[in-house]
Amino acid sequence: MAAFDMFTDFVAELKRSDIPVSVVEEIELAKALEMIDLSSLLELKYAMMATLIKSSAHIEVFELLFAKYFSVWQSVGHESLAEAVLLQDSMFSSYRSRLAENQGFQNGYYDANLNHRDRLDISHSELEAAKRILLEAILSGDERAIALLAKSLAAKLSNVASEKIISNSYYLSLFSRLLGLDEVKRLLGIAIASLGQPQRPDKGSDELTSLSDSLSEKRIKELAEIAQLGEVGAGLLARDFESMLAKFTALLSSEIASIISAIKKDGAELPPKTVGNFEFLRADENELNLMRKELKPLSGILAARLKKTSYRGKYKKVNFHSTFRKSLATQGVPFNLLYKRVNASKPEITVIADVSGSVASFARFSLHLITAIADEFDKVNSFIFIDEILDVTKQSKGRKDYAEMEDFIGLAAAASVKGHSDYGYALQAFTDRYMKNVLSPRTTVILLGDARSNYHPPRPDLLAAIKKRSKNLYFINPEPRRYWNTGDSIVDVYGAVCDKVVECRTLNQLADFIDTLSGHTGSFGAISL
Amino acid sequence: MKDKLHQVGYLADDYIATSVMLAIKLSKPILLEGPAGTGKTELAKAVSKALGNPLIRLQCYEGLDEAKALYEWDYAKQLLAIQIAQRNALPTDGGQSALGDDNSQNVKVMKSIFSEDFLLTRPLLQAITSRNQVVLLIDEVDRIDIEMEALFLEVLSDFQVSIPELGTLTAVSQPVVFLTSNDTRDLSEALKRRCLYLHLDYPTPEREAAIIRMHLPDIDDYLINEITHFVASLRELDLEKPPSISETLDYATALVMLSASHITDEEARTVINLLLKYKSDLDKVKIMLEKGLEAKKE
Repeated sequence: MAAFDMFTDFVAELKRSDIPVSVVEEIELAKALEMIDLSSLLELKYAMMATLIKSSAHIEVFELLFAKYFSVWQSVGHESLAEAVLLQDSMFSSYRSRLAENQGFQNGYYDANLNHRDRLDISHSELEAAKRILLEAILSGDERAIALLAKSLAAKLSNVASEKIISNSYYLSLFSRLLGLDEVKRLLGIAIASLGQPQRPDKGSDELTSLSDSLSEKRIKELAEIAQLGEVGAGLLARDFESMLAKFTALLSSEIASIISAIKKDGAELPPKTVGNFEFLRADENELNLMRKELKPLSGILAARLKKTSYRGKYKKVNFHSTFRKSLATQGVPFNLLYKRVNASKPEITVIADVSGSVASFARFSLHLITAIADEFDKVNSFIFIDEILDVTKQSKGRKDYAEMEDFIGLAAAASVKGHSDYGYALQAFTDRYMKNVLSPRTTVILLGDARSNYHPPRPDLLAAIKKRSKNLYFINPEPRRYWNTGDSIVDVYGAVCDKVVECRTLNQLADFIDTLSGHTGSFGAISL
Repeated sequence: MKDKLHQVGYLADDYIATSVMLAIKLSKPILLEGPAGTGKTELAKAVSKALGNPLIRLQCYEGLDEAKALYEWDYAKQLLAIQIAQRNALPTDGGQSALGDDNSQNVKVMKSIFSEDFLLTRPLLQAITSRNQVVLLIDEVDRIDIEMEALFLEVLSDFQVSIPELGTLTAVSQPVVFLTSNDTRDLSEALKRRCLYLHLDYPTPEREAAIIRMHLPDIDDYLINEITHFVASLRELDLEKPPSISETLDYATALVMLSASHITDEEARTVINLLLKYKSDLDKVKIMLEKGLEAKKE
């Protein structure tokens, strides 16, 4: 049971990191587990990879999570793996029998425990003590002691670092194995039997005799009286003890849950993200590099999508004139139908990008993506500004290296007077100098930026003028939505004028936005990197 | 599995071997994805060799349709059959053709021309109807239109093909199916769900060295080391097309033939175009090499 929980927990974790795993794939994994040698961690990993992961972009996150979840198995090695398998539910029953034949695991049991203990910082004597306390508490019916024990055991987990936390069910089964709850049950059974005897025999285990020493005479008398009622009494006691034991596991489980959730909160642990979900504004150098690597394949994917939609017309019109002309060759029988050529108009794009420090990396990614797929649009004009606006259409033409993009974005900084972004000024310059030549009723204008204009006049009237001369006006903002309109952000001032304001925090969102530019409505599903 | 593949000249690591083994045991198709030239097609070929099963290959391209992937009725043959039937049915004493009048005759002809004799099997149907197990390679799935992917779904999940006129043909022996994709677009969820997934990336220098050594047993160890690390560093660069394994192999073969002992030798530098197929890439790397040499001299 426990081990299979581990797999489902693991899958849940994958889903938390935005890796889609369907039930079909989980079943496939279960089948695959029957076929591989579970004693090899690598083989397990590859089997999981083959069945659960369906995109290269997800492999890295998978590796991270796998290391986190199954490193315990790795350190413990073969024996505990076999042991874990023994605990699995019926799905793995074939394994159970096969492994039962192999007696080796029993010899390794103790060593396996040792490894768990090291990780949890519990010494052998502590464990023995805990077990004794548990037995005593159950025998004497002391619920407070049980609660205390559960708490102190769960507290051992507080040393575990947040990134190493596995799952609640894992720790619960770990503790019950370390404490040897099965052994406790057996001892309780013996205790009932020996209490049932009129005079106390000494054939019970040493542990029991020492236990009975610590119990009060009164309690022993009580218990003995019940036990000596014959079968009914023994049954009563057995049920009593069992419910105490169940109470203990329930308490332990809830304690573990609360401790783990506390640890996770402290560590503010977030599920690892796939490249497509890194945020432009928060990504560190390393993440930006990874994102950069995705740009090229992403532009390929986008271009393929846009191309597909642009020439696929629903209806073809018959060109009657040329069909008739051609039919003369076949004595007036229109053998071949000729169609009118479909001239699918592609959108024209004008990008106006804020490249000031706060959003520079976002602007770079967006410009790069849009210019990389310029072939799929009729025309792409690019402008960049901090305050002074520059026409960079020529510089950004063709497939550019990322480094080259860097160069010409530097131009804007050089041309800047104030050194911080001023949207009003830039819009003024754009309408004065470029608007007439660039905008047409077929143009889609995309304004990129965070709309933080440093309290300069925003001039939404100019934006309205731009909107009037173009087909669509979109504003894409790399800031999380909850920061909009805070401080000097004037998203709503512009938003009132725009057709749509889109939040573009991540590569995925950016790609989805560009995908919608072609006008088709998501027949391909969302892009997920 | 690994050993078997090795015997037929394919060096598989544990990841590849495990995934392929699972695909065969679970009788699931396996989707191979990765950059061009990492041995995806080669793997399918090697598996077919190792299993001793024939390989049936379906090369995908834009505009591939049912008629070319699944089956097609042999129209010419059908026409001929109708004509023959017509001639046979012509009454000897002249007058009208009996074909038009005799309904049962009509039905008979119709039935006979839509039988398996008139079916042209294309790769997918061929793989399904084959008596012995085959290895089916569907190459470059990402090239076909997204709608056409649906074509494969029935074949891949149930190993059967439905032909309206004939009914459903189910596989006698389930083929081992490989799909390859160069990652140029996302495949549909439905297709991915039906497959196991294996991502093939460029090999580590060590594995690449082993591959080269397998093909060129006489090559100098030092040279192999140089080649593989050089190629690995090339792949790190932002090139139009990074060198593939087969290109590395060509390059190594050329170096051995020219009896070059270092990749910086004059002869070696003349054959660098075996690795790089774009002029812009060539220029970039040549400049880098020059710089590197100068740095060495100093």
